[in-house]
Amino acid sequence: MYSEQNTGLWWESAEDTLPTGAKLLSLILYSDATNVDTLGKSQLHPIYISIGNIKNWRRNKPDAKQLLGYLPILKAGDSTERQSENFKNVMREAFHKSLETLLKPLLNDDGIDLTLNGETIWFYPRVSIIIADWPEAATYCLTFKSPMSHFPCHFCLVTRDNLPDIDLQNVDIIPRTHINMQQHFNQGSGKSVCIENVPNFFWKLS
Amino acid sequence: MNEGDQSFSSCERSTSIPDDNQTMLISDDRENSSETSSNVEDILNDDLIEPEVEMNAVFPNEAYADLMTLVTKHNLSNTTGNAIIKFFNKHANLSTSPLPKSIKQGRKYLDEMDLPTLAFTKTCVINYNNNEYYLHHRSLINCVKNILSIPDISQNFALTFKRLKVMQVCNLFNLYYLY
Repeated sequence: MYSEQNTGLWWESAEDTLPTGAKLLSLILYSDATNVDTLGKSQLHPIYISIGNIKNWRRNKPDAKQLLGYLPILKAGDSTERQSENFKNVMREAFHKSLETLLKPLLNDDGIDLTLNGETIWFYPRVSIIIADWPEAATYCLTFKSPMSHFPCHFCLVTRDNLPDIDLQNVDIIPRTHINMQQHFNQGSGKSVCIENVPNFFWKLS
Repeated sequence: MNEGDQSFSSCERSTSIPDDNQTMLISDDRENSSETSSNVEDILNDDLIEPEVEMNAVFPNEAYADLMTLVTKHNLSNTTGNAIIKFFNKHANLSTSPLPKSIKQGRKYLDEMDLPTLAFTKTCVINYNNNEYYLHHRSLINCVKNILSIPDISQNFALTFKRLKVMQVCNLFNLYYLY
């Protein structure tokens, strides 16, 4: 039975990796490109942050989240350029470089001291959840965006034909992990598991 | 006036500013026709321009801060805000007004305030087709600090893992059946 984030298995295993006395700071990221005029001519790509330690009902109030930044949106000269593999890869690269800039504090091995209600607490920030729509999720995971690809799911390596199979056995469901994905990337066999040929920033966090 | 030491010292510090502000205000009025209402780009750019005047971390006085809070909170137009300033100055009977000359000047002051927790920085992430693309962002730690500084957050904050026991489920069900 689960309720808040700190009752979940992820929290338990993440907490085990921290030094004694340190607390887990669960970060929630949310990003989506959005139009800022009615014609759809100008776009912004905001990314927000919230904290998973806060109880759900309180976190969902508007003041418990913060605007982290605006991700760059690349401009293409024409639609041919926009469709080109090169442009798309540059876009993915820009996205992951931005994430690296934003999430640099997470690479710090010593954690951070933060004050909560006058008390200093030793925290280790970890990204727990990224909220995104399908295309955005594909960009985070660098999986092929098309639902017609062989492994369309960004969580697992279940083939497109098997995805609607409700009798699928546990052994047939191989999750995508940073380990197996990175392996495929390094071996140059990323295409066989439907990932793009762009290094994923999140591999650096593991 | 009953003011804290901090705001008083800031008041002294800001005495050198009005000259600059005055000139800025005049030039601002001249550009008035071309100036559009500030959008996000403007806000971003404003933050990134090198400051021309001395930065202030706090408002000159409490009345100034309250006025700007009022105007921002209720989305009051410049005209309404100016009317409030006029009203206050007329009935407060103070020799020198603690308020800005106009809302516009107040907004300028707000823009020029040095608030490290709100500051945006700009990082070039990629160069494509001879165009540099920038990430406009705030420090992640500052964002977290801002959230943690909300007064009632600590009461609704989990610090450690908590295992919910299945026993509780049974109890809940029992209760449910009892009633």
